[in-house]
Amino acid sequence: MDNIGDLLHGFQVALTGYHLTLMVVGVLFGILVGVLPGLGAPNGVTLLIPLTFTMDPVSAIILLASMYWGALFGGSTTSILFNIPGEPSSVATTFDGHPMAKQGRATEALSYAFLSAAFGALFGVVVITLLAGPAASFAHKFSSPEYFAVYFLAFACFVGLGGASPFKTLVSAGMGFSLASVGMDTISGSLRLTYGLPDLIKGVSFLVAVIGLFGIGELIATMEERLEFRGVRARVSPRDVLKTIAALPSYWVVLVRSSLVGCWMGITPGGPTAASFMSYGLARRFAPRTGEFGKGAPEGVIAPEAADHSAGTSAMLPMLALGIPGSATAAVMMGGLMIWGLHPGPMLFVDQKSFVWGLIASMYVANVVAVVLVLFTVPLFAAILRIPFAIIAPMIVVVCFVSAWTVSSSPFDLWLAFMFGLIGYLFKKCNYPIAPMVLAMVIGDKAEDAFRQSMIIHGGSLGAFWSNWLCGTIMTLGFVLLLWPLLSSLMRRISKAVVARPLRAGD
Amino acid sequence: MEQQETSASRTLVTRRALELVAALFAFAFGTTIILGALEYHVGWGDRGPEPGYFPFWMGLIVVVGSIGALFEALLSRRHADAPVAINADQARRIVTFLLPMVGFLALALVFKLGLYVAMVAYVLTVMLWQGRYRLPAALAVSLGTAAAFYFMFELWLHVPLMKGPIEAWFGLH
Amino acid sequence: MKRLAYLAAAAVALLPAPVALAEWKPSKAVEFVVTAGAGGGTDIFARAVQAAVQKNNLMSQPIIVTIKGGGSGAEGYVYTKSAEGDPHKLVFGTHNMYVLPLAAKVAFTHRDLTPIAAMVFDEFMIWVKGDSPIKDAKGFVEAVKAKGGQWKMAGAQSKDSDELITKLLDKAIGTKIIYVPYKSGGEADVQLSGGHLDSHVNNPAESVGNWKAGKVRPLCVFNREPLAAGPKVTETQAWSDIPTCRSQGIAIDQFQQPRIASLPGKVPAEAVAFYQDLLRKVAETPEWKEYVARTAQSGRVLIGGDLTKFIDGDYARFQAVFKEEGWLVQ
Repeated sequence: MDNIGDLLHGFQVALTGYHLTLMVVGVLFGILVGVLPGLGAPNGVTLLIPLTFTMDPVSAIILLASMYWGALFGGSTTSILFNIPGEPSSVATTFDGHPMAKQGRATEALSYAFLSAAFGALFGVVVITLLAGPAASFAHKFSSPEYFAVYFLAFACFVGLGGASPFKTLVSAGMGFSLASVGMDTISGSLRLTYGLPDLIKGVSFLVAVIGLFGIGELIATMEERLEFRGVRARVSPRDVLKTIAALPSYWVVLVRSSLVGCWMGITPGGPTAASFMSYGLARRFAPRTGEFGKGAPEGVIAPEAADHSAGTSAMLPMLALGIPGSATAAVMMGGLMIWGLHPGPMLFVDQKSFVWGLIASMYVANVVAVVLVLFTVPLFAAILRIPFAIIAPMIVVVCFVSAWTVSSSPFDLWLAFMFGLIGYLFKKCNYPIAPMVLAMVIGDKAEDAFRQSMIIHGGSLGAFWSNWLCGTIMTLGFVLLLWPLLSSLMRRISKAVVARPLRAGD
Repeated sequence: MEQQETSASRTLVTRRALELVAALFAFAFGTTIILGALEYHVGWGDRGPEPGYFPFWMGLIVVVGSIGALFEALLSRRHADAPVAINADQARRIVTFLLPMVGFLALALVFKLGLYVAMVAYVLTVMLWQGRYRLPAALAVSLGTAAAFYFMFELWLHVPLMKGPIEAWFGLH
Repeated sequence: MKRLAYLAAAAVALLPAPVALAEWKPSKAVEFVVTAGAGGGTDIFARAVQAAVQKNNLMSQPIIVTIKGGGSGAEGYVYTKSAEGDPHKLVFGTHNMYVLPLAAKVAFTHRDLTPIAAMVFDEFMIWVKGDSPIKDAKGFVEAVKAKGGQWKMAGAQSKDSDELITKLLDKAIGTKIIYVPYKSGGEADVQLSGGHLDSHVNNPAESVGNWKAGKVRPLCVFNREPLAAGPKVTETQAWSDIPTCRSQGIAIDQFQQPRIASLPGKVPAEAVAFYQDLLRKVAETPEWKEYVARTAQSGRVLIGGDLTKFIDGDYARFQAVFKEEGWLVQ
């Protein structure tokens, strides 16, 4: 295998003292950026780019990539401890991570999160190493109908008919899709749903919505109970970590499936956020004990984390090989590449071997560095939780609003975050599911663009989505998963009827 | 929602009332989206959906969902199990939490004093009013917070936060 | 106002020690507002200026780059407009500063801003897939006609330069081309190299990676002259080997995309002079020349009256086509 030889060369590039230092610096900066809800990995990369002007491209990309891994890890920490997702892609981690922490299993939750994240990341890098050639040309098969099919599949996996009232799920998803279509419409070039407000031209930022729905909304709900933190003390003792490591292999099905979902979404590219939702949805749907989901099931932490990180790493492949960024962060890095004078494309793997394989090798090393560092920062966050509530609550409020400001320096966004906070609280009290709204905001406008591009290309015929085996298969799979709850209950009924047991009413 | 069974606090908002509020909000939201979408063609042209198509149908879905949720709230007997949504104590706590927050936003954005001044005032108020801390401690923490944010965002990350006239007096832009 | 600024700049350039003009300098960090997505052409433009300024110590204050690409860039222009009178914000964009308000209800026009300089002009080329049998622009015209209204052209955004060129091509060839809008030229390029569409009209920098790999191929450039001579990009060809579309029988004279830096409205003339001088110095640095050559653009600096004249002319051209297509917003 040529690839292995190239990889060894890459390790020679990556394993220098200077590059290891850059990895540590990048990861630490990433953890900080990841912990702050509004400031995400894309912002972090943007902030670092000016520093890379004077660097060698390999060193520059190692710094930026390490920052990305650090941010992905940092995002999960606040999701679990505070129910505030530090990164968009760690929204799904809150569903079970925070309940676990509330039950006093914070260490377990954090360890599961970090270890499965590391597993997912390494899985993604191995896939990149082995499949650099074929995976890149596979991504080339994707045109607009296939993109739409990918988004449809992700949505179908997650939504289905969960525990909530179907009407409330409709409201939540519909609101998300509506909000996603505010602002410039790529296909027609017209501004939609702005109601004459200049502040709505840029659209409604998904980050601002998440800060409000989760950050502010969670605080209001906490306040209602009592003036003290529902968050939890967390201390990572080596023994707890070892215990989790020992327990992890029994979840191998979830780990491997989630990592595969992540690679799929990273390469196709649906992005890490959609990947984590999709993976969580699949884990819930195919779990032996579905009832525990949302109440602190380890699978509910493992699935989104493994998928998130494997999508994050594998998104680097289409970026380098084709110039298709698989995530927002990859898009910013691609800009960096161009500034350093490199052009993403298949020739990069031929012309710039040291750059490409140095980066890939650094991904192995930096992810290990990141796990170690992030485990060390946990006591720091745990200490935060011991600060009296009358001090820490206003601080979190300030962090939320400052984060909302950093999204696009717009005062309007702060009011918006506040409004989303009230909506988040109201929805929580009335059992409206929030996740469909978040997922709809993430994929909404991309899905609409892909749908309408397909219609333009195929003259307005819905046959576009079954015009080839690839697209047709993904679409059909999506419909099967969407209707899965119906199908499975139907099958259960049939099998029950066959055994001739009496049906219970209201099953 | 698990509730403490003590009957010390009286019911302020019933679950059913809150459900109605949520459904009506969703209905209003959906209607607004539909009206916004009608500014453009909402049909299916010869090259696929027109610009208003998606927002129109999504708005309609929200409206339909909200009507469904409304009927659920009115007809369902499920809410009989947990009839209380918010009691008076809880409401008081929520209001004491939200009021300073609105003050923070108003100070920063309406009076245009910027985020730094507003965060000092906000942290100070909450610590004095809800935490019953003494003034020196509260002052130290609130000023420390602003300083920490300033160092991190302005000096280190180079992300300028919103500033007002008071920073300008000190020559900080 | 602009005339005055132009004179001021001339004065600064001519006099060794300007006595009449109080010299203006930024007193705090200068914000570079990018009116496009991170990693896009405008972002790279702004960062090239930033790199040239920092490496050559042309300005004492630091530079902060902020991305405000929402609403196809309208977000950044509205933001800059609202900073009226503040000479510490420089907005970077393209012709979208005067084209956007034509077709969409945005809360600004280019008259709300003070254009400082057009620093570089990006080219447009017709590209086909690498293994396409089409060899030149003549073959392209025949192939489009043969498809009888089913030719699919990919491009960035809607009612912007790429779609405008498609409309001009419609007229030049005498047929209808189907235009499929994507978010960026990069996306359009991936679709073309994957064989999902027939052609696009990308800027050179957007497609150079795939050209090197033989995945896409340029046919002709919308300019009066071929590009300046330079090193070979592929094994056999340099940018200068691409003929002009006009010479190949497509009657479109010249179509270029200016990259413009502007200040907000109502800024002091001294500040305008400062930035004109700064950008003129930037254009002389080796870093800038390297950027222009690498991205295969035309390095031509327009300042003051020349810039005003250019903008007025280009604006009129867009307006005429938009009016004909019924795209003008009421």
